[in-house]
Amino acid sequence: MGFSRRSFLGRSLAMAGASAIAPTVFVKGFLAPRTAYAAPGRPRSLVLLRLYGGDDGLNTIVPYGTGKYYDGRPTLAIQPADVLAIDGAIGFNPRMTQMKTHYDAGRLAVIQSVGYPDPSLSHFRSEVIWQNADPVGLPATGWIGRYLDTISPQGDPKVRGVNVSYGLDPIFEADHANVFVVPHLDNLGFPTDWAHWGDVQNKRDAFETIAMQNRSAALAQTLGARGFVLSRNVELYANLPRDLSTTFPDTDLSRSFATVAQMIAAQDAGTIAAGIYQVGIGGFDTHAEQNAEGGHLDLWSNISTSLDALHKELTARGLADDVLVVTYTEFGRRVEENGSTGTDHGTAAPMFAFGNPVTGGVYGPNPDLNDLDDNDDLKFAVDFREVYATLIERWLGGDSAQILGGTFTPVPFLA
Amino acid sequence: MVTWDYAAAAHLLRRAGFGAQKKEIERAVRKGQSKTVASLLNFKPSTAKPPKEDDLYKAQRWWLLRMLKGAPPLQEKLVLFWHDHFATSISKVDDSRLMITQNLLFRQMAAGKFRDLLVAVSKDPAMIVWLDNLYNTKDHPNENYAREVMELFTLGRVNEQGAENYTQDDVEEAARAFTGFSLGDGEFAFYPEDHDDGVKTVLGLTGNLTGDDVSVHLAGMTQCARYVAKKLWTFFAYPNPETVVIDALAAAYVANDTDISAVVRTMFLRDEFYSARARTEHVASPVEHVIGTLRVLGAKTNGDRLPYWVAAMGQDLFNPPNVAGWPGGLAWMTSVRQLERFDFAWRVAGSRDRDHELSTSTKPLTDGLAKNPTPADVVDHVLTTLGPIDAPAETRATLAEYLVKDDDGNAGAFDVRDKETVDKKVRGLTGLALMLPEAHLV
Repeated sequence: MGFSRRSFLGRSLAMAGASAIAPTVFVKGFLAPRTAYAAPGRPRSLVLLRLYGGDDGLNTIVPYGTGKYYDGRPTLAIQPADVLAIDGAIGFNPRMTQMKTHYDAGRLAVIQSVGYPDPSLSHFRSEVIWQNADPVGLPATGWIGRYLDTISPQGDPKVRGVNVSYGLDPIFEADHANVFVVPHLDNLGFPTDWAHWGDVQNKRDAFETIAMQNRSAALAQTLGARGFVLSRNVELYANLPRDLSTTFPDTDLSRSFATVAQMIAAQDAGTIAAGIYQVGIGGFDTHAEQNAEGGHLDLWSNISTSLDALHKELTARGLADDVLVVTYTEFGRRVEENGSTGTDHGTAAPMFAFGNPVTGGVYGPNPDLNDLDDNDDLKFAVDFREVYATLIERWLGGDSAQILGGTFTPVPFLA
Repeated sequence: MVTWDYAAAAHLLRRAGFGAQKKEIERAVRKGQSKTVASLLNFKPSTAKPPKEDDLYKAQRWWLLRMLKGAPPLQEKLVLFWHDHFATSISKVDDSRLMITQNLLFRQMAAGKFRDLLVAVSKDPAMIVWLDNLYNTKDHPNENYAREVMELFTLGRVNEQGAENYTQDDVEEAARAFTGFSLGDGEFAFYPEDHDDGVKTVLGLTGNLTGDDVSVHLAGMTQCARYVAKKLWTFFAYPNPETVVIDALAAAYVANDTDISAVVRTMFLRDEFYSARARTEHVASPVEHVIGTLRVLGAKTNGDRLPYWVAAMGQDLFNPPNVAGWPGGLAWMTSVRQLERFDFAWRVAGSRDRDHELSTSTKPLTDGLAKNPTPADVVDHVLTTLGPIDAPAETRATLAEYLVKDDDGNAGAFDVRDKETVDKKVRGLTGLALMLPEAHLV
């Protein structure tokens, strides 16, 4: 590089001056020629959509051909005339119109009756089971974290996954792979004291030096390492192109998907290494007034329109063949509604896999409302780890037995 | 025996409250450990004057200013603990006045008997809305409160051996006991016609149980003593405490008729409370970090930004993520939240103007320095004032090198009497110190 440290700093600060808020410093490392992260061929992305609180699967994929459903749900049942029928037995709830369209186009898979043995009705227990992918033991890592560990060398500062949120979901807990947790790409910057510009690089240098020093306390060591990863990635993400050709609906979920689309485009361009994203939507713990405004049906309307917008954006960018979206939730809900026009914690629920790579259709048997467990809850038929194994073996590329701690047969929604 | 020195006293004042300045810490050192603990515990519940309108921001600002300025510190810390323990969120309660009513309840009963607190919480209006007891009637029992009172408030899902503490039947039976606990005109009301008068069995107790019977039964269980003991220790000291620690705190709970102040006293007198684990395994919550930092620096603030800062770092008061409260630990330090802490570090370090929102003086950072301090002296002094922040020697050396670096990155002179140097380098050192991993573990 032909310029000195001083001239570099002067140049980057002049660039940063254009932005009044959260000015950006380009530290030395960012000027190095960047090689594309992408492996030969096009990079693939996995977008997980987490439904917080336990989705009422029976009012999502409605078993409208089953009398027991109407017996258990005198006020909450979706009437047959309103169902967007898949066949004579089941159909989408009436607010999932875009998802039904994608189903008809063969790019949406409905995986019925997904669960696990000996189900827990506790949110906190069940979500850990789903995210760590272990109904028995309690590994300290999430299954996505374990996958990312297999593709991420020790000490590598590259970010491999992005939790589009404020908090880290346990699914991303890893031994050493780096995961970014950001709700969007706005206002990202590495803070400093701007009153003394001449000292800014000294501060950044001191910070990075300290962050890499060895610390005897494990937690301090981890915080240092996380700080270093931040220092090496924040400006990279802050400066990703934001252009979108699709108008996304005005919801938090849609904004999260728009952010994901921007990052997928950057991954395709070789700017960032991340290939796994998770976005979330809350409100599924519908103990009361489930069908009221802002309730369960509105949630699915939001999801359906947001997924549609994501698909349009990816299609416009020529990336729709490279992206797979999968939904999951910690449990379904009871067959019988409760006394507060809501539903309490239950067991099995459907998952969705969406995108051009998907072989559309219904997988797994429909829930059998005439054959419930001892607690009058649905019996599961597809182990959620079979779905994970499908994602690992047929999309991400990896050894599912190693990551899941057992052999599970893939579900053929991916060829 | 604990070596009762400056670091130990500072640690107690930080954890039992929100930190103190040098003089107060030195006073505690002179006073001794047991007297300091006794005076922390010796407080009369103060209620303060909360805002009367339904305004979440005002409620948050009121509470945060109580923590920043209001005595007694242990009361404020315990109120924060109970808010996290009985985590109730405005996201569903939808009225900050009800959140304040609950806050005042915690204020009154913060260090009293857990049994009384648990009974009161089951009748707290915000809780009744939050966990749907509003809808819990004889004809249509709602399990939400009954499940969470066992899973999160008293027993935990499993005990230390991994055995389940209650069954789905216990949940359903307890739900029946709480039927009829509802609201009338925004206050607790019991509706006998909605209450299930039948015989129920909850965790071995059989009879025509009421909600109070279930609360009293739960609070009296050994597993509850252990669960609450562990929860308190995790909040004040560090997670995953040794069995002997839980034994001691649970014994204090049982021997003192569920009295929380007895448990807290036992905790503050345990050697483990001052151990290396206690000083390296607790990630300060956003409220602890923000309030603690401002207190040790004697920063001036009108409190306007306090609610935003802690919310940006992940702790939106009165709005915990779910009924389990804030997950704590490394969950406080996700990318975006760590960046917010770094941002706060530089706000604090760089607030040189007399801004009502925040103003910090370098005086507490340089007061008491030797006459011609070396850069290393200045580093030690600043780290002590801010914590003490227990940074390794190598880190202190890097900070000392930073102090003498000129704008070209070369080593130069350092004169702590020079105003420009103080403004650039002492403030710079402060910002860097507040970004240190150890600054978030005090």
